[in-house]
Amino acid sequence: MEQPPAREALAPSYHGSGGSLFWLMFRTTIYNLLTLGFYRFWQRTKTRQHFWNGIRVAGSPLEYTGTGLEKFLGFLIAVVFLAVYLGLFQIGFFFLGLKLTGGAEWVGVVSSLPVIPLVYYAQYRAQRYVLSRTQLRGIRFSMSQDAVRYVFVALWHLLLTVLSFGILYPRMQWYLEKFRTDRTSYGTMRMLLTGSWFSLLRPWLRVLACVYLPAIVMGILLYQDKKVGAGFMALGLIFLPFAWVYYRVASFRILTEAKSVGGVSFTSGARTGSVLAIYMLGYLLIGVIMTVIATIVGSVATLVSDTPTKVVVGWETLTDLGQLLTFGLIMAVYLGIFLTWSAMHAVFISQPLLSHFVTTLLIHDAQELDLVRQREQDDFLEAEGFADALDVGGAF
Amino acid sequence: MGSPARYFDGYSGKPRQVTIAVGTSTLAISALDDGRQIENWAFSDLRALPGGVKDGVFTLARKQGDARVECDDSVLLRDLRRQVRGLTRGPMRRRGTGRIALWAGGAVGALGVMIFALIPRLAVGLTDLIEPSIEMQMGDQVRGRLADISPFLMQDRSRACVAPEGRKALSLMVARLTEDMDLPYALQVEVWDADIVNAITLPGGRVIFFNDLIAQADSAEEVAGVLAHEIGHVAHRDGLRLSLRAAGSAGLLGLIVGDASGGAAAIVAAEQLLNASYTRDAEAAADEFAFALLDGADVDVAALGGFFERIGAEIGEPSGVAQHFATHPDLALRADQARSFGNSGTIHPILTDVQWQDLRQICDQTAPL
Repeated sequence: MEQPPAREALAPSYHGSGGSLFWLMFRTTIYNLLTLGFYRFWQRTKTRQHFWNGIRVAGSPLEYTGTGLEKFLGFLIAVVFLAVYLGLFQIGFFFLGLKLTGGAEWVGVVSSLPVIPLVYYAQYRAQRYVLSRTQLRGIRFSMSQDAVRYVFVALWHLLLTVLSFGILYPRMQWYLEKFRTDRTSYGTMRMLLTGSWFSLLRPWLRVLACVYLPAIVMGILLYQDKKVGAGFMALGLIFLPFAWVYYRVASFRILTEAKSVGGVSFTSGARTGSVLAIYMLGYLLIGVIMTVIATIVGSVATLVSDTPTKVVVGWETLTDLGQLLTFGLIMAVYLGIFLTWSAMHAVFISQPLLSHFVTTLLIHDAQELDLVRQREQDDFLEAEGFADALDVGGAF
Repeated sequence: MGSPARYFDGYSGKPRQVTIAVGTSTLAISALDDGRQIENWAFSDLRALPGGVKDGVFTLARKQGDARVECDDSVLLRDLRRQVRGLTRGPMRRRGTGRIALWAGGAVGALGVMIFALIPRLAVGLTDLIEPSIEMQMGDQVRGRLADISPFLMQDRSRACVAPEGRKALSLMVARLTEDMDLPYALQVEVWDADIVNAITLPGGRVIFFNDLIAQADSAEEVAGVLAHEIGHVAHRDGLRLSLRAAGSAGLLGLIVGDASGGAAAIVAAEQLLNASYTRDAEAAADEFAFALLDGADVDVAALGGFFERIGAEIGEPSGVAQHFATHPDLALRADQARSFGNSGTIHPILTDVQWQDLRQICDQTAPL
């Protein structure tokens, strides 16, 4: 993105080191394993401290003030409400679905509908929690309390998106982003999103083209009974992930440029090519490392059990204790692989992506930040508990 | 002589250039321009913010409050580390142990009440409110799905057995058992040609026998025993009830692991355990029902016991840990229960020898499913 030379722009920098993140993840991953995943609240707190602290705006690091304990408490509170809500609504929806459709086959889908409003509720609350625990120059960010209205707005836009076969998705994204942005403040400064959702439509057309063009051509070819040609068109769908990444980056740029806080405005020079390169290199690295680890673990396991087949043959004669041990071993290996994966994902994907988006950002008229004043701390009982229980926590 | 640093007072976003100096028990913060002291933080009140950055920049704060000092003098930081104990401890905040314990109890309690009490009871109540016609339509669809996937489950033998004499014998058996019974819907019993020693009940009164069960049975009474058990599932509307329960409790245990952090496998196991225990209860109830039904129809109850025993010997009993994951109660126990239930009246054969042979040959003639 070219800069108009007249404006003075400030670029944030990113300083998080891969090494310290790796050891942080490695250590907390072990704790996580030992606690059957309950350490995750503290793990996330520490990784956020790492990421936030690495971001510098005019030399000042962002500060993350959330705690693991409040996340754990929030999670417990969310479980109490969700257990009752999900239990009653899921069985109720299934029952009503049976009654109204006369027992149609797809009725099972109906019973999962009550989750949808919760997802938006949880996302809003989670973002609000994270912002309320973020400080720059000792000044807090905040977001006003409006999660219930957000759910209704989101459901309305979701309905429009579905009815328009996805064409109106950027409209939904724009208005939800606007809803959240317009309720966000840095200290006493209100954040605003201005402009029109049409700006998102052009990049979105590429995604639509990647879905609908192959589908339409395939339909025509199938109608003419040219099966080979139709199968060939299905290959067109492999461009979809690229178009999706392109759209994500483009919409980030557009939405960033539509935002302002006080007199401060932003531009972003994030590039699709760089993001794709980070993903591909990152997954390649992870793949190579995982393969090496799997090979080592595999050979050790083979050495220990003499021959791999012996385990299978001995299965029937194993005692209860043996079964329990085998079960435990399988669980441990599963957990180990899973959590190692997430550690490497943080180091090779999340951090490089964060670094790219931070360092390509430009903050215009940053001197206006000097005018900001502090505001009261939000007391936030349930933290991001809903998002955590429903697994919609987002990237960090 | 202090180190250059940047100070934020916690009220304004405007930075002030300051110098900071480590004293004997305090950190003095003074303005760079006129040298006047702005603040003097006691060591006991001082903390360094956590962060994984190794480029030397660190932030100092008090135990409470939003004032911050940013500095990159590593000598000063080392000095502070030596003099201030617990420098990297977090800010002061309320302890939450009591609240944590309270809500943890609440979370476990809410999940327990929902999964073990409320949802099973709701499933029972709501089952009564569903018209039999709806359940029959569900059953038809499930049968359709089964027929679709049966080639994969039963190799190429996935056909319905329709030899007329065999079907006649089967309906005689059904009629004898359901003589004066008030079922929510008509029973639809059929035999599929497959090497599975089992019978299943679908919602809406559909019972499917797999032919190997009939082939392995020693007598018509053994088949009648299994049929009575399946009729028990029909009378209790188990298919619909368990579907409602599964819909209600779907994902509830998954709440505990929350985001994908590896506990997922434990949850899968726990859910399996839970489902199995519910299914076992339903099986035990169907057994009870079957014993009474057979006795009422003057059919030998003990024959079912013999059948259970033989199947048990053949497939091997799950033992120990595995037993908790098994959906059916242990077969030896069921055999004992059948024998001890016994018959209160005289026993009459359910089929003649000829009819029994007809039933055994029901798969001589097959039709597509």
